[in-house]
Amino acid sequence: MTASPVASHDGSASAIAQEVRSGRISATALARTTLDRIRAADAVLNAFTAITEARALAAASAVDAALARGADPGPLAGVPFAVKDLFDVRGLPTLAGSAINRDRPAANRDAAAVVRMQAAGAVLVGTTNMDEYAYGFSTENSHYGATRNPHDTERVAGGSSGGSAAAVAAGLVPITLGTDTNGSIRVPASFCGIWGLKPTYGRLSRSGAFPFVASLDHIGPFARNVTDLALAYDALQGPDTADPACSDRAPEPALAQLDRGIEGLRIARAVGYFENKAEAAVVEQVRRAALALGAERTIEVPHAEQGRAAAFVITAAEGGQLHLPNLRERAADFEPLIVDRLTAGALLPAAWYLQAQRVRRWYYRKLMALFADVDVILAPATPRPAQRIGEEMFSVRGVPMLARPNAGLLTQPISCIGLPVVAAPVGTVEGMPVGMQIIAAPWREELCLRAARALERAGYGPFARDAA
Amino acid sequence: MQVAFDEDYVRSAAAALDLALSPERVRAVAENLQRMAVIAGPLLEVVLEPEDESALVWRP
Repeated sequence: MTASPVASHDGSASAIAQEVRSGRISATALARTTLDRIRAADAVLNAFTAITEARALAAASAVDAALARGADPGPLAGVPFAVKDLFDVRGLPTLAGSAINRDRPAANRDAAAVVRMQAAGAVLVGTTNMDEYAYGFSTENSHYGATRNPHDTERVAGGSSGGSAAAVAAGLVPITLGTDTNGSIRVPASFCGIWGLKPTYGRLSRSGAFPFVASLDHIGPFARNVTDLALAYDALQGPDTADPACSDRAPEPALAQLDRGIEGLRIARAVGYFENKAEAAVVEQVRRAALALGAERTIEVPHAEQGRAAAFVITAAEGGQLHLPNLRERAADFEPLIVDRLTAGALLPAAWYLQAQRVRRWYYRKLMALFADVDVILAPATPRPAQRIGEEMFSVRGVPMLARPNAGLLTQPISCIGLPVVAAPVGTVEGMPVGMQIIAAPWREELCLRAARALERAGYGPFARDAA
Repeated sequence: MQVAFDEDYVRSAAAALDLALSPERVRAVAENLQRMAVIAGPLLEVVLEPEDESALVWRP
């Protein structure tokens, strides 16, 4: 069979892998097409910080060679992917959105997540832009430029994994990886109108990912459909002793469970904090999506404000302490938007930090009681759609607030206690996409993904400008 | 546990950590701390029992 470079697939990871495995397209031809597409689009979007052309072509060639000798390259055979520029990629400095990290030596090995994606047959094509040291929700980076939202290039893509979200939303690659400490997968997924998964804290190895807040950091994938999200998630699972937070649980593959449906699942929509801190139009989109899942019930998530506050203080204190040596020696080299925030975090009283860690466990217990009565909780992912690049302030329910730190108002109470969440595209507000969080109890990612699949079957999917 | 995050606080805390800050940065850091204090407010109001352990529990 002749391998044609002409696309006969829909651009999804699952379709690409099927075409590559069947020999209908070659991974090498696909990699070349993808690299050309990225180079053309990224002049506008600025989603990528590096394009790993030689590596991509070598990896794609290895996939084609494996197929030629009858070997199975894996479920992501030939699928191009990119990673946030805080995952180690052998031979590249791990920038983490900073100028300071340019002076670090190049990584001498790949991050665990990169190794696992590649072991599943995926082909790394580049690294993506982010807020400096992941401390932000907008990917307005003065060292590497702002990443632009593919649906309106005057607006932010969200952050801190903004480059990863923009690359998927623009159709440059079907899958990217990001990290989420306070919402850095869910906020850009919402702003860019795509799917994102933040698994349970400790589910996926962070080994080789530059840290931000060790007690809150997660990794996870972005995709344009739920199957691809599950494919990537399954490829990434498994214990790793190199990450002290990584659970020793055996992989619990989600792909095979996607189509089990949601019959019998108790699904409720969060009100109270999660309604009051989002624009009415966003709440309305979430309410409609909830109804599409048959969820008429509402639920109050207790003490969400305290959960958010705990996450905020833990982030400031741990982030500030992590960067203290460079705050002493190289303050002028930091991103102006965060250097004073990091410094302030380093100066927080220890009593506040310890209160935050104790409240975190207290809040966790309160929330676990909810899951005796409900399986899935739905809530807005962001208070409003993406703001314009450079916009300092936005308002929520008429209350003006700083835009950059407050885009995570609704995500922080959830990641504070490490719950698994899928961010789902659920419609538009002001002509821009907004997302919904599909939240479950710890280690129940499959429930989030089953509900996401049901939503997808009900017609929800990635935002498309032409269809808006 | 409320703290007055004024410029004196910033200067003394920064000195204790060997952080040299210009007067402009002292002011900016103080403003950041004051904003953090507003968000931290609900956290500091939680009354915990001695048995309420930290989420940071070391497992050897």
